Amino acid sequence: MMKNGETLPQVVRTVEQEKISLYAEAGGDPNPLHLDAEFAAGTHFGRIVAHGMLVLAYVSEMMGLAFGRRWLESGRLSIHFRAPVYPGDTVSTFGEVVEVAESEDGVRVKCAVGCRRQGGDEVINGEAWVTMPEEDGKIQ
Amino acid sequence: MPNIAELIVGHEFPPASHTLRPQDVALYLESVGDESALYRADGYVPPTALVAYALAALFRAINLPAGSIHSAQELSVSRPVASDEDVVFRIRLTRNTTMRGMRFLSVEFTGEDADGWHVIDGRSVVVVPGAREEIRD
Repeated sequence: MMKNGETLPQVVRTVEQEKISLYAEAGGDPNPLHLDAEFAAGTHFGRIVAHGMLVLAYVSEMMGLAFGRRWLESGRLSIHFRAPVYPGDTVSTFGEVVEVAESEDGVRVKCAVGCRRQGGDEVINGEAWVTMPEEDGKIQ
Repeated sequence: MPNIAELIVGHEFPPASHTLRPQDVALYLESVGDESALYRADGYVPPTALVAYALAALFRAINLPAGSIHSAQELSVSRPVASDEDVVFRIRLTRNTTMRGMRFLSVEFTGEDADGWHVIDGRSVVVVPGAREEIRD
């Protein structure tokens, strides 16, 4: 069975402008804040910022690595975007089991999750949950 | 296209049908660098991709001003969703307030499969700079 304090597999990515531009196309979000250096220079960020959902995808990837298909069957997530991620930043996910409790459908596993960039600043933080059958209540 | 300053809480955007074409999902996976077998081999769609497609439907509906930023996100899935499925996104405005020159928009959305079952529910908060209006909630 899973226990409080267990950590989830870490995903580490360097967020290059090429990926941001590709995400803008793939995610249907052409906001110039993510694509146009001149426009972004005039915002309070002062430069291009990566899409929050691009960075959040790394958290989802971590949950998929930890829980497999269960993440797709019963996953829940609640996060805040705390700080911008800039092109060239390296982002690392973090995840830790903070509660394992019985529920109507099985074992409900609650995790503290998020992302930090180089230097340790949290750029995303929040919680995620997965419900698993009791016999399957361990990290894959 | 509606003016976001005039949208009232409870406004429901037109339902947006979306076919999860494998090539679109592959492009998404490439952009986020996810090589997981769940998606690459088994053909499922990441929950965050479903959120991205729901947000894209929102962006098409209200033409958010350039410089808008995403500040919070919730999602809840109820079953794996496969490439090639059709999903209908239904989006409802739940907050439209201004504070210190910023507009805060919150929406709740659902994604329904071909049988009308919810495959994803979510809530998004977007902050729009340059708002001048008074609080309206």
